[in-house]
Amino acid sequence: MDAISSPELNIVLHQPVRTRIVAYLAARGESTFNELKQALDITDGNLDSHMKKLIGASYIETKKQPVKKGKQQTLYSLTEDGSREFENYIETLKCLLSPQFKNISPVDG
Amino acid sequence: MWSTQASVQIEAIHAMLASGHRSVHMERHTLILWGLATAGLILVATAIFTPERFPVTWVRAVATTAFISAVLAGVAYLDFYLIRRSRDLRAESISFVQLQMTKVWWLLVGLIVLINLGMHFFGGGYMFYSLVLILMGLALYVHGLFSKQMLTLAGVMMILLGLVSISLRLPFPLIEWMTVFVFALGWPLLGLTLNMPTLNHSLKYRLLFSLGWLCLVCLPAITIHQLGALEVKLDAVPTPLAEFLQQKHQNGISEQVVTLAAGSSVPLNVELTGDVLDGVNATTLTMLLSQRIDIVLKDGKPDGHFRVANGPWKKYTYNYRIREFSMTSSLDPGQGPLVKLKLHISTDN
Repeated sequence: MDAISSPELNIVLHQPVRTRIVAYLAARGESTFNELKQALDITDGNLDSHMKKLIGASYIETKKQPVKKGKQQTLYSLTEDGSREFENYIETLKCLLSPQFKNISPVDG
Repeated sequence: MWSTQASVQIEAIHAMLASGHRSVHMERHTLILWGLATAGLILVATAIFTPERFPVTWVRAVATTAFISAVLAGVAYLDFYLIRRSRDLRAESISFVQLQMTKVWWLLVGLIVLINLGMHFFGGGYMFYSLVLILMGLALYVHGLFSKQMLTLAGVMMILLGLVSISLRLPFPLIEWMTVFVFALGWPLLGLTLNMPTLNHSLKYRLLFSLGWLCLVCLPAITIHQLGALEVKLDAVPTPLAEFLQQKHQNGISEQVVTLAAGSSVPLNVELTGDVLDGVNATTLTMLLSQRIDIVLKDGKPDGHFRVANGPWKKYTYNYRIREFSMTSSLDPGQGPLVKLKLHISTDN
């Protein structure tokens, strides 16, 4: 029997909250911190820590937008790298759904 | 298992993609503002821009269009200002899709204004409010596709109301009142209940709400229309035409009903003008009535109310129409040139 090579999943994206953040931004385009928090239904601190990781990996970029009376609003959106990595991540997940990985657990792989 | 982990992640991605795509958030004030403004416009514009006040068609058309455009532009500006303000207060952004949806909304509103202008010159005014219902229903439907499903349902109900009113040939005043109540009651109610969790999570509640919503907009309209029909209560005994013609003067008679019996002949003065016609071509034809018609006179002049064969009282403005209008021409050596004009006069909408 041929050996099955272990799938290479992006470690930054392969985390439930971060996957959802990136998927939401991929569909919506850009979003504020508050909107993300509402969409994901998580705490400020939890979201903040995951956003820092995604910004650190250059998957998400920020943009300041003036609102009124000198106030600014921060908008988050996916970078080109982020979009590409997200597409690759989905392709990898699709591969994992194929029959050859049906009975293989992450530790085996 | 890899496959289990992968399927969980893919499901989460699907859910978030759907959530991201439904990024249009209809603010409560939007539906209240547009609803009340539109209902007010229908009532006010109809009362102000009457043929009596503005006898020249193009003047009436321009005045009505300018008034409607100014009010709707003001509403559009105020709505967008309030949207921006409420988003800023909640530290939220206006998504790209929502900006495009707003443009679609304004385009549909602009289209209604243009249709109103065109109908002053090309006719078809009978269908105006049905078209308003259909186009604004379309605006709600499109918004609902990227926002709350209840909006989609409300849009479908408005489109159906518009289509049914045309296909069933509902009386014009009934369609007008229905449109007023859709905007004056239906839209604010929709705005106030749009974010109710039960409406967004249960199809059963959405359908029940839709049924209640339809009753709310239709029942008051039907009631007012029926009350309007009962308004014409005449104590006067109908006067036969022959007797009416004998009256020397109608002084002192404020209200009178004159009966034209079946078989009566009514002269029809026809005046034809056109760019290929020499001056005014006038002639008098005779129409023979197949049924008895009662006509209401107020202060010696027809006030627009009539009834056919003891049926319900109708108003000339809404129940007297020319249908199946056609004009054909032929030229052959035996007969020479011939123009045939055919039209059907209907008192039954």
